[in-house]
Amino acid sequence: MHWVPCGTYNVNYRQDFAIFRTKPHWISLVVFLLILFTLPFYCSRYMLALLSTIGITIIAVQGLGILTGYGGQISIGQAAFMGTGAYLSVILMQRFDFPFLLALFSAGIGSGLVGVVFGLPALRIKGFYLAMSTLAAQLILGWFFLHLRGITGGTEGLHVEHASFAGITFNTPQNKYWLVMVFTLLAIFFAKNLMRTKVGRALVAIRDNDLAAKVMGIEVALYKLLAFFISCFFAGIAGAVYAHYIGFISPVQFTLQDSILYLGILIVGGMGSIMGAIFGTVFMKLIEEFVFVISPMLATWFPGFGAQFFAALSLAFYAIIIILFLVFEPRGINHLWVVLKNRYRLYPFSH
Amino acid sequence: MRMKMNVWLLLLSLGIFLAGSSFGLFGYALAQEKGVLDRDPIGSVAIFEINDLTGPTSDSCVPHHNGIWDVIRDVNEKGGIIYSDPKTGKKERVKINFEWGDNKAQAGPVPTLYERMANASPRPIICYMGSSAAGETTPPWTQRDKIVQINAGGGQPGWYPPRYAFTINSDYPGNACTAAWWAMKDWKSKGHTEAPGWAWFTLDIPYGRATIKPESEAYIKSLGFKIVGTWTMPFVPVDTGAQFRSMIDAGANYCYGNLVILQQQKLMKDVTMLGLKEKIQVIACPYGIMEDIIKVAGKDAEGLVGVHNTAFPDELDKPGVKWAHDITKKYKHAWNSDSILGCAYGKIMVTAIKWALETKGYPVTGEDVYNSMLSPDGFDTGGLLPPVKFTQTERRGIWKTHMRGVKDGKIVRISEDFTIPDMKPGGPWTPKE
Repeated sequence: MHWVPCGTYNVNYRQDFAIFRTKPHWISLVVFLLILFTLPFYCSRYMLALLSTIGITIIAVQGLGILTGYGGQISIGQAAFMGTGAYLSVILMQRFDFPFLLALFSAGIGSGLVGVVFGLPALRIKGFYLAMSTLAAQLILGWFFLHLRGITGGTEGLHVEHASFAGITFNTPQNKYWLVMVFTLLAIFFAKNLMRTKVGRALVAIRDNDLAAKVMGIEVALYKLLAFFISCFFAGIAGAVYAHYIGFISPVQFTLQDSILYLGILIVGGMGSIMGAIFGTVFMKLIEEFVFVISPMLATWFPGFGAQFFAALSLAFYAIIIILFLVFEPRGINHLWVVLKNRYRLYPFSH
Repeated sequence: MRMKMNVWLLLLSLGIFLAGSSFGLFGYALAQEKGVLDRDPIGSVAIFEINDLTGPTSDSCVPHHNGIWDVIRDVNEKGGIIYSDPKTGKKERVKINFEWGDNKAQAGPVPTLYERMANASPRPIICYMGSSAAGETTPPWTQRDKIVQINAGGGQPGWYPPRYAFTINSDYPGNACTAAWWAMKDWKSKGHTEAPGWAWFTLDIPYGRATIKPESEAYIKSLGFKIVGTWTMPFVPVDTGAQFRSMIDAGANYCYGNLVILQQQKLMKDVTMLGLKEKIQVIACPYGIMEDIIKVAGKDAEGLVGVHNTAFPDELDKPGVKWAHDITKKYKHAWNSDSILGCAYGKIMVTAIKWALETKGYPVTGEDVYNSMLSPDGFDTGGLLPPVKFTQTERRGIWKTHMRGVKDGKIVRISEDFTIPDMKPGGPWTPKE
């Protein structure tokens, strides 16, 4: 249950539906955007790289959240769909002279359509069986990345030209960061609004009970495929942005481990919420960075143990955090956030 | 007679003078060396590394990391890199800051690992990319940031086109050529006249496939081989019997693949169990014929041959090998061909920095180190590796390899050195369209 802050009254539907309802909301948004977009002026390149990778991962995980969190369809092929978008955007730009934005959206749509093909089994199967089907997507698409040498470059991969749009060439860490952040915000905004529409509610209904949803008149097959399309569209956009951010793509960048990691991020963040994908990504990336920083330090302080010991210890630490979350807060970080928010809103009347 | 005596006297005095001067200079140098250790270091230089320390290729990558770390620790413990300043002529020393990150053989963590370490203070001038995922993703960035990049792996994106990335190893397609060259000699020595069959036995991942190139296939065919096909296996193979039977049916006499010990030991166990060793010769890449293969595959490793380029761990008469051995033992790490490679990487990085310091003086930039890497004399690793030399257009440093084989529970050399043909795309072995 989400509580409305004391003194906030919604007197019409517009107010009721607004994402940003109150003045403090709007002020927070403006301050947040101001900080977000001015970071390149006072942040190190490392911070920008960290935020950019977080941004790209958020886009991919938001897509997965729509499919898995809202639609209830498990997918472990998100990295492959990301790869599809990455390769499509680069090939369209370099071979067919597509402008960047057109190549990006074509890559999103192309990836979405590929997702629909692999989503077709979802009409007959669900749960673990569907997970196997999406695993096939990961393996088959990975095979294409590796073997269609004439198109994808095979093991050599593809060098990616800098993206340019409206006279700006995105060739510095700063403007690449802006590019990533614009698409990240658009993805969050789109996902948030999508879930407040008929489509979003239909997906939730299918997730909760597909038979009941069908009885209510929801075209289950159509919405399941639509969920796959939207999810893979997000992945495609994430992949295209990633390709232009990194400047080089090869099959090693879109692996099964990445797909599993995205699912893990979603679980830790909280499935079925827009904020969950964001919290999960930020949390997991920060943990990853923490262990990256701490491992060499520990290895230097205790050289007798060797580097591998501390690198492996960091993996164990990473795993323990995920287990603790699954045991003590299976609804993810987002649930903690909701509890905290509601407690604040109801204070001092916490009952 | 008197004249002869005068000449002898003259020569004797010259000899005494030269010996005296040398002794004096040596003493001066020693005094300077001692003096420089009494003073604080003039500054520090930074090296960083992205490597697979806990991922699937860590069995090779960890010893490489240890070798580099040991060399750096040893240099620092002895006062740092000691060099003659080109401006003052005085001996100076700098310490080395070394940082590393574990990317688990994945590309995902590479951007943040790279940006964090590449922008540290002092700004790094050289880095080591041990994992293929890092070595092949980062060349555009190191070129942008002017940081010399040392790659372990010989995958093509790491060495072509020529940028700030240098590969201190033989390249993957080149290793396959060495294997084919030896295999043809072996085939002919057995009195065969018909064309032998060549099979690729590979992991269906970029690392595995990186050896199978139009260039390497063109070279192998030019030797007289018939390439009968490519067989794949999972990263952790459970049974490779079906693949072996199928490739023998297809006419394979030799099979080669970019595999690590994990797969190579299974191949050897399976060919032994199925009694196929007489029918097919398994040939390993350098990462598949390390000392651990004997520990893991035991007697089944007998008969395995493979491509390699480092010195043998027991060649302690070579000064570089003795030096690396002592360092490795000092820091209590395992001593094997992988540690030789790791120490060689460390030695080359430290040498390149030292040359840059001696040319330019402190502080040095990545560009200065880049120029050192292109030194026309190349690098002398004291026998750890064959001659290592780079040019403006060539980023592969090693062109000499040889073949090794497992015999009576030991890895021994079974061929003379082989000069790897140029596997560059668009080079002499690229098939014409």
